[in-house]
Order: sequence, then C-alpha cells, then structure tokens
Amino acid sequence: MSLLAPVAAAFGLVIPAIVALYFLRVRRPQVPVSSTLLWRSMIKDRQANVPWQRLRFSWLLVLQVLAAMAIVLALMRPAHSAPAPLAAHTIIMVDASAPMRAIDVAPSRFAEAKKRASQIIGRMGAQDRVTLMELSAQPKVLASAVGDRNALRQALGRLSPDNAPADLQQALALAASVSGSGTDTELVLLSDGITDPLQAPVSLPFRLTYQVVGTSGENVAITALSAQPGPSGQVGFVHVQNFGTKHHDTTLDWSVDGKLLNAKALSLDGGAGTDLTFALPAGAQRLAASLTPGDTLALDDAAWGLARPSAGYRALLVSPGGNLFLQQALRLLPGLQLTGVTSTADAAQPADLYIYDRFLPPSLPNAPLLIVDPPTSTVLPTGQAFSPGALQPAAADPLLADLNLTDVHVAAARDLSHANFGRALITSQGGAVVLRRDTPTRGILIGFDLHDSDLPLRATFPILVDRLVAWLLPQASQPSYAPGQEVPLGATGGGLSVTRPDGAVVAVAADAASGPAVFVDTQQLGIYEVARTVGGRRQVLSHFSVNTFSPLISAIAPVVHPNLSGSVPAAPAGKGRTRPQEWWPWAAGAALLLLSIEWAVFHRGL
Amino acid sequence: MPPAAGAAALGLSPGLLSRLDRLSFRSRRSVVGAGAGQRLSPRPGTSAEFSDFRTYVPGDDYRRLDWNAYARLDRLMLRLYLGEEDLSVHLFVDTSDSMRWGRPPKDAATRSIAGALAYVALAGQDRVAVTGFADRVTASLRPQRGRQSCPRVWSTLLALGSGAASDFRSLQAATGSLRPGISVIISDFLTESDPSPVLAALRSAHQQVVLLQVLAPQEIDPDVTGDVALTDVETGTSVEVTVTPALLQGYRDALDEHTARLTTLARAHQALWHRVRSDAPVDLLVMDTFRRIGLLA
Repeated sequence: MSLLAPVAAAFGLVIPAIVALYFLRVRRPQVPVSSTLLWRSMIKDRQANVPWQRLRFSWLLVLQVLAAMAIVLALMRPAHSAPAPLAAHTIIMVDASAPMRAIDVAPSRFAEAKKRASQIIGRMGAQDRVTLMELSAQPKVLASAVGDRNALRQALGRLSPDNAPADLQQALALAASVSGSGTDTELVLLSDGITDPLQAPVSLPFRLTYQVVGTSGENVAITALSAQPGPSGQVGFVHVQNFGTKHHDTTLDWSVDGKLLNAKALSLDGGAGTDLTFALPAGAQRLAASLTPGDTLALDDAAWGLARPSAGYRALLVSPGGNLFLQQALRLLPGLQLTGVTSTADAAQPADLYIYDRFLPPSLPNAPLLIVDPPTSTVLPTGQAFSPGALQPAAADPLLADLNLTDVHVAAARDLSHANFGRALITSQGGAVVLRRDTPTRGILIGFDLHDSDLPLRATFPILVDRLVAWLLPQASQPSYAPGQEVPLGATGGGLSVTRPDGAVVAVAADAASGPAVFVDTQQLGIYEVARTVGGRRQVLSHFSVNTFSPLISAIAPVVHPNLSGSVPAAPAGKGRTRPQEWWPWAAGAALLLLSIEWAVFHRGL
Repeated sequence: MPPAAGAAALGLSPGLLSRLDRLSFRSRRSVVGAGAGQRLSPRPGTSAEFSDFRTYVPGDDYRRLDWNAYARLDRLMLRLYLGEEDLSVHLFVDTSDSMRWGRPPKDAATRSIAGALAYVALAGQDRVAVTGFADRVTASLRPQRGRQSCPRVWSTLLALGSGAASDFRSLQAATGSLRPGISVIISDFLTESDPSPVLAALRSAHQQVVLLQVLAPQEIDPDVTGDVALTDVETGTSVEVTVTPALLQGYRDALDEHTARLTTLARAHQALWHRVRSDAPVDLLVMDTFRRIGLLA
C-alpha cells in the first residue's frame, strides 16, 4: 500500500486538538433557571470539560478520534497497486464512415464497433477517463475525458454512420489535441482501416491499439453513372466493379424517370469491372441504376444520375474582333449552348457563362466569367504590356494538373499583378498573366491575346478550355458529388431552396455579398433539386446527384495493418499494466459511519 | 387600595368573586374556632345540632334538661348541642426569588390563588392569616375576619417581599401560635430545604395541611438546548450542561421522582398535595380543581 498524498498527514494534528477540547472549558451562554436542584443530579456524568480535569473515558471522544483518523486517512489517499484494464485516459475512436455499413459482421461493422466500444467503457475503473471520438469525413469528439459510463454510453448511442469515407489524418490530429498532458494515454481505434491515405506522418503522444472490424472484402458496386452525348441522342453510361476476389453474378436494373428501362445480368470475376451503355429516351431527366440482389455493402448498390438538359447551358461569347480559336474550342464542349456576338450591344443577353474576348462591359455581370485580354478600363485595371517569356503554371492548382504549358510562347501580355481580380494561376518573370477568382462568382482572367500566342495551336488548348469551363460551370460538368461534399448552386439571391432525396426542403441563404450559394447537407444519396421561389411561384433551377463513386467506400476489404508505421509508437503489451487503486472512499465511508454513530450516541446520551 | 383594584391586580374578576361566594373551605373535622362562625364546633354550643347527653349537675341550665329521658329513666339528663365557630385559614406563601421565574411568573399565579382562597374564607366568615416566607418570614398578616378584610389581605399579598431562597425552617416559629384550622403552603418546593419538620409542627397545631406546588411550564418541560450554563436564580450557582433529548428526559424523570417524594411526604403527614401550573387560569383552579381535590366545597 502507498499513500498518494502523505502531506495530508498534517491534518492528523486535529486528533490531539479533539482530545484537548475535552480538557478545556466550553464557553457556554448563561441561562437562568428557577433551581438547579433537578439538573445537578443529571450532569454529574457529563462534566468532562472541566478545565484540566483528568480525562474520563467517553465513547464520544473515542468515536470522534476514530472518525478524525478515518478522515485523515482518506485525505492521505491510500492506494494499492492493481491491474488496470484500461489506460488512465483512453481515447476510443469509432469508425463511422460509409464502409462500416458493411454487414459481413452481424449486424454490421458499425454496430460491432459500437459494441466493442461499449465493452471498453464497461471496463473503466473509478479513476479512468475516456474520450469518445467519431472517425468520419469530419471527425468529432463526442465526449472528452469523461469518467461517467452512462454519459459515455449515451454519447455512443447517438453515434450513427454516414455515407462518406473517413479522414484518419484529421482524426489523429484531433485525438492528439485532446489527449492532454497525461502520460498514460491510449488510443483504441475501432475501424476497418478503410480511410483516406495519410498524407503526412502523424506523431502521436500516446499508444495506439487498432482493433480490426470486418472480415470480408467481397463487394460489387456501381462506380459510375452519367449521361453522355451520343450519335443519336444521349447515352447512359454505367460502370460496375467487383471489388472482391470471388466471382459474383448480379443483375443491373436501369431506370429512367422512375420507370424500369432495362435489366441486365452480369457475371463478374474477382477484381473485374464492366461498362454498360443504355440509350436514353428523348426528354429523359433522372437516371437510376441498382444491383440485385444486394451484397455486403448496400450503399453502393444503387446510383443516381441526371441527363444533360437538351438545351444545355448558355454561354455568351462577346468578341468584337472575333476569335476563331476560342469559338471552336467552346463549340467542342458537350452541353454548352454557345452564342457568339461581335456587337457590344448584344453583350447584355442572359447567359450562364460570359466570355469576353478583348472586351469589357461597363460593369461585370454577377455570373461566371472568362475574360481574355481585356482592354484598359477602370472596371478591371491592368498593367503595362510586356514580354512574359516562359510561363510558370501554379503547380498545386488542380485546374492545370497534368497540362504542359511551360513551352507555350506569348509575344506580349499585360501585367495582371494589380488587377484586383484574384490569385495568380499562371505567372511569368514579368508578372501574372492568368488569374482565377472564386468569389463572388468564379472567373478566369487571361492577360494576353490568344492571337499573340501559340497556345491555341497546342493540343492542350481544348483541354484547358474544357477544364476552365467545367470549373466555371460546375453544375454543367459535374452532376454527381460525393456524400458530404459542398455543392455550389451557381445562384445567388433569396428564395433558394434544395429538396433532398427524402423530400425534405432546405432553405439556402445566399446574398450578393457572399457570392453564389453553397449547399453542404449532402449526406443522403440520390438526386437533389435546386429551386427558387419568388412571389409564391416555384422555379426549378437545376439538379445534382450524390453517389458513392469511390474505392474508399466500395473496396471494403478490412486493412489489417493500416499504414501507420512510423507515425505512432507501437502499442505495448496490455498485460502487466498496473495503476494505483485508491481506496479513500472506503475511509471516507468509515468516517461517515463513525460520525453517524457518534451523533446517535450523543443524542442518546450514552 | 380600593377593593376592586386589589382584586384586579390579583387577576380576580368581579364575576369570579361572585362565584366564589358560593364556595367554602371543606374541613375534614370540626374545629375549635376563635369565635362564633358558620362551622360546627366540637365544644358544646347553642346550635340546633344535637351532640350528646350528660348527667345533670347542679348549676346546669335546667332549660336543657331532657324531660323525656327523666320520664323514662327517672334521672336528670342534660341535652348537649354543638356550637358553631369560625375556621382559621393560614396561607403560607413562598416569596423566594425562584417564584419570580417562569413565563408566566409563578409568584403572580401564587398571589392569585392565595387571594382567591382568602376571599372564599373571608366571605364564609372564616379567619384568614397570611405569612410570606423565603429564607425567613418576609411578611405576616394577623388573622382577619369578614368580607371587609379582603382589601387588607389582598394588599398584603400584593406587597409580599422577597427573600433569597426557600427555607421551610423559617415557618417553624410561625406554627407555634396557630389556631386549629387549615394551613395552605403555596411554593414551588424546588429547594433542598426539608418541609417535614414544619409539616409535623403544623400537624401538632391541629392544622389540616394543604401543599400547593406551583411550577412554570418551562420547569415541567424545559425549553433549553445545546451547551449552556444553568444559573440558579436563588443561589447564583451555575451548572454546565449539554442539553440533549436524553438529558431532558432525565430531567423529567427527576421531576417525577421529586414529585413522588413530596406526595409520599404529604401522605405521611395527612396533608393534601397538588401541583399547579403557573399558566393555569385561576377561575378553573378554584372552581374546579380545588373542589375536585377536596380543598373547597
């Protein structure tokens, strides 16, 4: 046995003080009575506090001294070493990502993880603290350093799986921040190990115990669904992938606007995939595909998509001098309804995308913009013309990924460093030549005339135009989003709302100052509808779909050894871990019992 | 002091006084009075109450000869009749400091009781004497007679002095010259002084003794708690106690034992004993309690 607070022994001085009180006279208030005749016979046995009288035996004194000793003992925190099933601070991280919905473990991986977490909580000691965390796309702390089992189980009960992959990197960083300064901390990761890959080494200041949840990787999933222009109308495209190692037979049901259009039997070997195309009827809008019968993970057995609008998206190209290169590259883009004008009087036509070539209107519209070689104007001030030399694309920008622009030559360009438009996308030794902006509306500013460059002659030019337009009109080029992903609605103003797949209508606030609205409540899978209601009249603006088209969700084979080597220390063996087991509550209880007896003795006059 | 003022000071209302007119002291035996009264005397008298016969001797009043007996017995027999005499009521009132204690004070209750008893006696043509005592005789009023003496008796009761502590030995001297009658001792009897000698003396003086113990409610059920020093108002001595429910129960047991000793002592001296609370209404005591215990009729 050891004493965790031996200094508290100083409180033992209270014991001689109690004894001394039995020697000292208590200063009592004087109460006149008619006669003390009857009282004198009663008090002869209770006058133990006469000054310096020889101390008589008193049960009250004995009980008070024993109670004081018990209290002092409790204050000294006596403890003995006992085996500890858990660390002093255990961080339980429960994987709530989409693959945890797999049912290869009954009833599901997620339920199994919660069950194990509950068992760990049940092994908590009196002094143990547990932090409960959710491992998901947005990791959260559900309970921080809590010693209350009920509170932890309630927090665990509120945990539910989502439809997105897990972000382990962020979760580990969050766990490190909540671990505190205690040395005896352990992270218990209850997961199937299917997470975003760690991008940087993580140094964890505690031990890590990884408990694998899940046994099978057999899963067939729909990984793509889209509508593409075909030779005779639109064509639906579906890709089905077998992520397991065994052969699977399944059936793909293909529906358009709620009507079953086709059903095709598939036979897929382990690791094999197949592409399927279906001709879409004229006027088709909503596409759906599903696999029957279901398999281990039902989440990716269905997919939704949207047919491109027959009218396409409107793009207005204003080029007083004409630009054949630009016009031709834009016409190659599917689903884009291009209107080219040379007269500035027609520059105010409504459009989803405005493209100004060597032209600027008096004021910029509140819509996506592609501006090429703008004239000097107060609307968009540009610098002096210069010869930029070799171009330097921003390497980290995904808009330019895998595009070779270093050998593009530009004869003359304007310095856009002071254009107050956005950040540099392509620079040169003389300054920025291409800018991009994200707010209030997306925009691209090119500071040179395409005719002064060999860029239109390069093979990368149509790819660059396609990528820029896809970024400027995300609703036209990316009809499907991942669960939890932010969706730009491409519209501003009041009255915006989004109807989720379950039918719930969510109002979206967006004003001109904050830019186009962004919708973030995209956990549900299916088709969302964007609408604006003005004066009681509801106008549907666009649709988008949310699907689980990701190997991080569908490749459900549990990762037995996640790539954590080098980032965290190995977990030591759990056996032999001991921790002081305090028993001051027993001493405190004994003190309370003794004081209760003393109270009873006092009132019974023993 | 006007009669009405004295009665009011003693808490005796006119209505109570009119009801007291119907009461009288209940003597358990015939007493020899100091004068003609309304009570039968053991001595021969002229009342209509026949007492005895005796042989005629010369000089007797021949008007009392029983001629019927002479005719039957051929002897001169004289008829004797009881006389009617008054009763002497001696009121011994404790005036020690302890009697001023209590809520309400015991001395106020004591004076009211004594005033009411004196009125009953005087209204019945009996004699009333008042003696105040503590560690000594503090006041004394010679026997008074007649309703007209009420103001004097009440003034004496209201003006009773006080002494330090109760001591029944102070009454020894006063018992020597008492006429036979009723002696009422009104006290709290919370003293170490032994009343036995004075009870014996009163018995020798042919007194029918009545002991009335007046206690305050706080003496019957003390209302003190915690660590206190109890100070005797008579002696000034203090005792330190920690008052607990157990101690209070012990006090009540001690009071019961003390009462039992007094009852036994009274019975041994053929005296009447009764406890009175100082908050008890005087009209209830006189009209009901004292009649029930046989003091008044």
